[in-house]
Amino acid sequence: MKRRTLLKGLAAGAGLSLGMKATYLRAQSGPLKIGVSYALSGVGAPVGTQFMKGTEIAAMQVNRDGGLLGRQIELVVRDDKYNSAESVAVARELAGAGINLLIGGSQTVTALGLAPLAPELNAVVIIAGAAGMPVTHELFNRNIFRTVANNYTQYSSFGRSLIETHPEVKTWISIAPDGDFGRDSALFFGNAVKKYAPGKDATVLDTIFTQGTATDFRTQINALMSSKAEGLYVGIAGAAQISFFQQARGVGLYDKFKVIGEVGNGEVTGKAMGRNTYPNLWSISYWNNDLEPFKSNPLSQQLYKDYVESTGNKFPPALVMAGQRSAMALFEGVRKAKSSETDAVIAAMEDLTFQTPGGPCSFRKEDHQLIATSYYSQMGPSDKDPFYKIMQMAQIDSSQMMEPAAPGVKFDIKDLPQ
Amino acid sequence: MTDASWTRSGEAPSLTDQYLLSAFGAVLVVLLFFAPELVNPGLLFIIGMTLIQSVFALSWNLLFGYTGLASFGHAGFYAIGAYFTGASLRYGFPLPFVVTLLVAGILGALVAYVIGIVALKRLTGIFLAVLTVALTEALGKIIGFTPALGEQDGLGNIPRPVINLGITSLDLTHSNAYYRFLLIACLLVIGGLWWVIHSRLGRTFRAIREDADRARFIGIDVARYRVISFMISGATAALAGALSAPWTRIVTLDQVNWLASTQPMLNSLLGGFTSFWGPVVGSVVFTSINYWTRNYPGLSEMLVGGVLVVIILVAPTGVLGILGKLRTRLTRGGRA
Repeated sequence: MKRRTLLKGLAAGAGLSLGMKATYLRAQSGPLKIGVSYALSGVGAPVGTQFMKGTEIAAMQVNRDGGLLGRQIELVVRDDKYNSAESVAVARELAGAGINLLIGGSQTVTALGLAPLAPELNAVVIIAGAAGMPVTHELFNRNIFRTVANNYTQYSSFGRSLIETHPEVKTWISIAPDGDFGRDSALFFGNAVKKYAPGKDATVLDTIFTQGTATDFRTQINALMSSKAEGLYVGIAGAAQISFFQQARGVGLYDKFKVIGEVGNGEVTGKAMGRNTYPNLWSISYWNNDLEPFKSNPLSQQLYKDYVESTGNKFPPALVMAGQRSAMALFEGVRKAKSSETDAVIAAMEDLTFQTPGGPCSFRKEDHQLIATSYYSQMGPSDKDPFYKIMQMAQIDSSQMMEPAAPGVKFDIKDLPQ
Repeated sequence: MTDASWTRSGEAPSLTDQYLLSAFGAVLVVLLFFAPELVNPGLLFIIGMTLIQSVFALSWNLLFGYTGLASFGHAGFYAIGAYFTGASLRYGFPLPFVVTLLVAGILGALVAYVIGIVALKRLTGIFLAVLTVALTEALGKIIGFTPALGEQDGLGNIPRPVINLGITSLDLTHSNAYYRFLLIACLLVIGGLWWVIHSRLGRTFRAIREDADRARFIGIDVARYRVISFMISGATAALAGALSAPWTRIVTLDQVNWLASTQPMLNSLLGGFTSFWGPVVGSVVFTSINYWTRNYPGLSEMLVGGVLVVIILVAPTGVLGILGKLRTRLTRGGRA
């Protein structure tokens, strides 16, 4: 090799290494970039935008207190459009920009695209809102952490909560969309009702199935009216649920059932039905600042204050807390790790307990499933704006209702002890 | 390049234009090949999806732009390929990957043949559109109730293949390696479609599109050639789906509905359905709008909608149609 060529090579190498070092130093001293990928447009937007608000508030709260590792947090936000391929594109783009800390998956469909990518991208991925079982089962990898209860825990806890608050209701029935989620949620709910009924004397009738996007429920309502059930689980979500309640109210279904639990529409149904809200409607919830245990939790009060200040809206949706909790899980993991490096954050989060507006949370080490309290709200009509109100919150410790950890193994309810 | 939009306007590109376009194409292929070294992994993924969408749109346009048939449920064929390949890789079917792709294409062609026999031989026009929509909806329902295909959750965690070449193997598990395979596969499919369209078969399709009665009068078996066109289109759409499964590593029901079927139509209309390259240009335009507006949720849909309205009102032949008109004007202006 010629001397000049060698010198040129050495100079280029030195320049490159200095340049890379400068980039590295800039990355270590600038804001700490966190990638966020939620459904901000399309049919998933009503959920994704609420998660986004909660995540923004979490970043604002940490920045206000001096940041993380001495650096301000900068959220790099992308819209996954409620589409799995888009969530893959977003995650790859964020990772390509050098971001290794990601929060996303406000719904199962996007989380299923995101989760398997995490090891390839060498990223820590917080699955914020996806309750689908595969995330912590066959799709599990050590880079992902789920900050929401899975379907089994959620709907088993719901069934248990309702039978414990209404032991006088002996016969139950479900109406659910004829898909895997609808079938599973009704099954988990019904099994829990039977298991936790005092004296185990509750009867769960066969589920009535319908289309998830149906608008006419007259046939199903007739079947419900002619059943002997007094307790009902409604697994239909979104606008279809509102249509169901509007049609059900007209034919006296409100008088027939003593209690109704619904899949998680919550305030959406309350706002739509207003004064016509079913008077003993129970819903999966995350947060209600006016009721205990949130009322006496300073973190909850602060979240409410920050939400009202940033939006002007005095009625925050409960999902805001889920978005804030997801971000806080990651921020506290980084704080505990004293590093933003992927392996250090994973190790810290596996052994992390952090405080949230809904109480302390931690992760099950084996499958990175969140261990937290599950909340259920009782809703009814009101004479005052917004013409529905939440009367009380019931709670179940999710650690009592989780399936045994089985990372990498497909979930099958038949494998669980009945 | 003998582009349909130019040949229709009566002006074939000059030899210089052809050289320039060929040079542009060659440079583009080289740039695409070295894209893993030039762009970040996010953009690389988007480029890969654009290649797949281009093939998908070309498959639709073979029917609409060249044979005068409209399929409103083309996502069904895409889904056949995507789910078959996804399941094959996920469950380890004992098939070499290239054979898996071929089988996916054959499946697409077979389903197209069955629909074609019903809709194109015995019925005409709207029935094909309705039957393809029905196919997509039925497929969606079947997949939604099939645990092995992931039901509503989709088929996730699809592994990328390793192609065994006897003495050595081609490991496509890394994104960059699969991207290059994808690029070559898409170029081969596009090349195949180019050959079909510019062959005697393609001229027969165009004759049927122009006037089916006259084509029949001069001895063309219209129904037979329509079925053949539909089979090639179905096979190509299934191949696009098959190539997508290992790229996205997940296949979901999002890809099996009427909305997904509008994507190739949108791309073809955007780029120009009268030109061979129109669907490719449309896919690039659509992806670019999406990419540049990614920081503004909802804006991309508004922009795409706005561009479509403008194109339909001002230039029904799409972006390439506008470029063709501009070129004609400039040339005439230069001559004057």
